[in-house]
Amino acid sequence: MNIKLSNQEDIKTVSNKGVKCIVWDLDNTIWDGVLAEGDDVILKSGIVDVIKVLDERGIVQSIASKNNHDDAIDKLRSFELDEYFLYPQINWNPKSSSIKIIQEKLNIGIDTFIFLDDQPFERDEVAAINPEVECLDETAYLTLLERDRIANIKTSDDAKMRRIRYLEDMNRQGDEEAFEGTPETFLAQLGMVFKISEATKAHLLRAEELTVRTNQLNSTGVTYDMEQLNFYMNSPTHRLLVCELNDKYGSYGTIGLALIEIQEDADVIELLLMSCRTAARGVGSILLNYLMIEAKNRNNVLRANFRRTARNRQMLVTYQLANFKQISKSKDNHILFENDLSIISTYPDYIQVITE
Amino acid sequence: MSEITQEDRDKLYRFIESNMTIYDDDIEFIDSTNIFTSGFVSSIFAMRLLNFLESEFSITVPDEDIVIPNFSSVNNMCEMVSRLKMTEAHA
Repeated sequence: MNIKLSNQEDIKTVSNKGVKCIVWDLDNTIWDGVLAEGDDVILKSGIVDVIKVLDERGIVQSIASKNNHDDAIDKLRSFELDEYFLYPQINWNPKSSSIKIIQEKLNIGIDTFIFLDDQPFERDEVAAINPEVECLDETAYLTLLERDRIANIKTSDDAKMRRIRYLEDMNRQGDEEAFEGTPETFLAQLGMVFKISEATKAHLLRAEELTVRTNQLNSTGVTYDMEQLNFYMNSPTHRLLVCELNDKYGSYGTIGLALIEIQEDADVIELLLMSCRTAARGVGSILLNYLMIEAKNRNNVLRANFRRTARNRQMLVTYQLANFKQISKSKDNHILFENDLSIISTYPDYIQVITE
Repeated sequence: MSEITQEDRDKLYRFIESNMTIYDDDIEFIDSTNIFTSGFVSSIFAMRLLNFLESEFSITVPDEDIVIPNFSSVNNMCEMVSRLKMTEAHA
């Protein structure tokens, strides 16, 4: 009876959320042998395919290994695997802290992590500190792709590019930290191009993914599946818009989504969201500015449905400082905003806005 | 009411000047300059400004105070900050 209870508790700590990141140990997990003991290590059979398939499915990967950093990276490079791992943590620190660092760098939920390690001690240490991380032994790589939390993930074209986008982000971050001058001057030399267009069938999977994955810059937290999005895309009284962002480092891909209902005297924003990767680029205000101009051209006011959550303060700030006023608020924190469109800014100089 | 010193004011100026390009050279920035009609205010600048006010003056700006009139000039920001400091001191 007691055993059953404690099992149930264990199950509760690990979520059934889709996996976004796999953290691998190296010795006796990715390869057989212990590098620091001078072994001639050999990759586990079939592991390269598993790493590549995970990568194609948009699941990012990293390393938490107790090893000499440079030796381990050299070895990974000789296997041509080094480029697959973002922010690898190869040091002698506890692995729970390595995983925490990876999580902060990637800015994704700790409950979307899986950790693989052959040593029970390391798995227990991670599980004790980060109980939401699913910890698996070294044999799990053989069945990793069949696990529900991985097999059930739908993969958009954007997701396949995820690792590349993170690598580009690492370059941006490095340059931004080294840059002297105002943040706006930094933005100005990025050569940002922001494209707003009507969604097409090809966008729907990515649009669904955005509603599921985006928390911080999300106006309602409501998720929509492809079927619902397809309905709105074809509805004559709705507009479904997608946004793309490019800069000199590359493409951020499709990073924003808006669903607007066109009523007789008002445009109503049902959903407005921006991928967290663009949070520091201020593009949410630009999409909102576009919607304001569009509504004004129709001689409509602009309303917006909003639900305040613990994580979307930036979205509230974006609305309220764009002169949206609360006209009603329900007990469950559902707010209806309205903007009379008396003040509309022009787009900032540091970004080129293309609309279709 | 006036817990905001000239030093605080100067800090706020410097923050805004070093974070907004439009005030770099030719526009004279005075206490009552309306930031929100002088140029595009990105959500990211707004968040930075909010974080600056909250950490510098140890206040939390509630949702209902995040409105343009409270942020449109240095004068108005100082008024809001001193009001929030008062309410928090009494709470």
